[in-house]
Amino acid sequence: MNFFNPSFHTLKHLYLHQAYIGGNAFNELRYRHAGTGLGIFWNICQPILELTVYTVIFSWLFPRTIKGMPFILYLSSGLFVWRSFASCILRGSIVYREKAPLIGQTTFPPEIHIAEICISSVLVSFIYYALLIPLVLLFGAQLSPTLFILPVVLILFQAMAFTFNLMIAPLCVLIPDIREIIQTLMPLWFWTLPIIYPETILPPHWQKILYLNPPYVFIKSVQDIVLYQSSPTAHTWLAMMGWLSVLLLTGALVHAKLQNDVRESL
Amino acid sequence: MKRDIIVEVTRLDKAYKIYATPKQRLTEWLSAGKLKRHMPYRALEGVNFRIRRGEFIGIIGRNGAGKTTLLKAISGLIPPTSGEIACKGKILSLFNLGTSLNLQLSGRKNVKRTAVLLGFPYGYVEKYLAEIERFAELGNFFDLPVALYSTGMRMRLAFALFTYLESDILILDEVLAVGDIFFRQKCYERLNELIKNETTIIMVTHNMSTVKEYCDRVLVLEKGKVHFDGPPQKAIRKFAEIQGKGKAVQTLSEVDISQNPLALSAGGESHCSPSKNEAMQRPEKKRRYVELLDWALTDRAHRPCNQFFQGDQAYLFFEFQTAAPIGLPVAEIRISDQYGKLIHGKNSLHNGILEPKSLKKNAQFRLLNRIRLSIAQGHYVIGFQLFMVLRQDLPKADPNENLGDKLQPIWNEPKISRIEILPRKRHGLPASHKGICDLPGSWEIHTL
Repeated sequence: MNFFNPSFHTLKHLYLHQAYIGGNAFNELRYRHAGTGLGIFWNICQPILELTVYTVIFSWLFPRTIKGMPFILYLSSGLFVWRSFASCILRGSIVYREKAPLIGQTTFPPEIHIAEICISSVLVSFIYYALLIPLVLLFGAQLSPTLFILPVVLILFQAMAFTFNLMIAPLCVLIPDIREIIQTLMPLWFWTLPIIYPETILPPHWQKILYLNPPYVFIKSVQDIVLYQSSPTAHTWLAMMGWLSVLLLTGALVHAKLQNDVRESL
Repeated sequence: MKRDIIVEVTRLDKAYKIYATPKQRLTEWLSAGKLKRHMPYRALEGVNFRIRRGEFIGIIGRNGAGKTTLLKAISGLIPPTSGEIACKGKILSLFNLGTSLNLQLSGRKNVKRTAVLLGFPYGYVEKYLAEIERFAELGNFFDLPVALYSTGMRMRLAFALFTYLESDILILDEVLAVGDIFFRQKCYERLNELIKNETTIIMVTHNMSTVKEYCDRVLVLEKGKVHFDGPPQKAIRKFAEIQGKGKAVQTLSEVDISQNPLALSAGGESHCSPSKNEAMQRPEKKRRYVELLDWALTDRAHRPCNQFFQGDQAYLFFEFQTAAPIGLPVAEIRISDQYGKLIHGKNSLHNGILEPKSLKKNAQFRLLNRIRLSIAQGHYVIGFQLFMVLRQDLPKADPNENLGDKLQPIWNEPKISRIEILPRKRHGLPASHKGICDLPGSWEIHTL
């Protein structure tokens, strides 16, 4: 199998089925909390509640400002993007089980179901950051044209979640323990990223190591855009694209390798 | 591949890797395949066949024979381990009715979504929406979420969609075994239309009536191999053979009645009660007063059989040996439909048989029931019960005395066999009669 072929096929499938992905991502978001009283508003309620809890608790532990910004603003800039990423990964770990009838009975490319989840996560993160704008104004930060770059970074971050899920989704079908491992490790992963704390509290050599943690560069870019109106540097863009490329090649390769086993297992 | 051949399967093998636990799979992966931890399971082995355009092919076989694997391989869902599958044209596979529907979306949206999932272009299904809506008979529900549908409504929607999407090859896996009789009737009418339009249909089914009625050709799969490929009647017979305990049932020409110790003569007819009725499941012996030595359900030609046409004569034989002295043996047959409703029940007292009045220990006796199966097509269960009436309870002077209360059950098998009644077409009509049973009687028309 050519190393680049699976990635090429994955991108081709995404392009061919873009209308389906878009429509179903919207439906996914719309019906995720179907049957509940608040419905779609649960998508907003949960992060706001989480943000409030963290703010109340950590305001006692940390100074009222971090890197010159109010703690609540610093926290929300990273927390929202992490939440949509983490939720996307967790949903990706069960998507093939959920869609088993479709995967087992149609020749439709299964990675499209992963893409649906990722696009719905993009939509959720857009809502989060739309909510963040009043917060930014309230706490005296400025709105600038740099904010227009934010959706691009958010999309790239969810694209990275997609590449992770290309590996995770088939693995979780074949070895269900992996799903449990992911659910256990997600909270730990959260603490490896400077979302609640500033990276400046880490020793300088550790700060460099943070770049080896794939979500870091994306979260840092979001924080820089929201808090300091500074667009990512060329170096940051390169790091983001680098991670995306490496993970896409690896994810697509693993996915292609396991696809038939998954169909036979479901 | 020749022009009229639409599917060509050559030396098809499919082996699955079976892992007892995920740990074994992981071990095999981590050792880069050096440590083999899977159990190979050959689902298909050396399968060869060709299908012509417009043929209606039935695939029958026991559970685990490889039917669904074969359909999935033809559909392109699973790759063959070796061999080739060449198909011409668009394939549409329907494996489970209604399972792929999104419960949150309306019927209309599901139709559009499923069409895309099946590989049709966006917007393709729009032109068929009105027909699908009409076929599915959902009324206003068509625009309501599928979660509100009954199971029958979901099936109607799924089947309507599948049969209105254009395809060269339609693959159906036991999809018509569900749903009410009206829905099934409608589905078969639609299948007839597709057959007229030269759509090739490949269908896995356990319904032999469907096989007889629709299939041009039938493949009988057994242990992953094509056991038989030919006309439906013969295929059903072959299938009945392999349904027995791995042995072939003797055909009429193979039965030597004169050499059979159970051959008997009754009412001028010669009957064979085959001692090796492999197609039937032998009931568990219940020893108290009697012990079952053998039994058989046969057709008029003495062949073990559990499929009959309407009006066919069936023969039910039993041989018992007494384990203790008994009074008058009374045999009773009961036929119930798929809902457990008793269609027919009759015992030997109803026929006025009052002999032998008693039997000693270790005496052997044979029971024969001839029954004309003039009942509606469908599946039925035959039950059998043996009673005895003690000599002192037998009526002496009054023949109208009620013996019902004096019947003492000594052997009971409520589900001794399952039979299928196939429709008998007569005078251009689809069945021999209407309703549950065909009562004796006839029409006369006189001009005045």
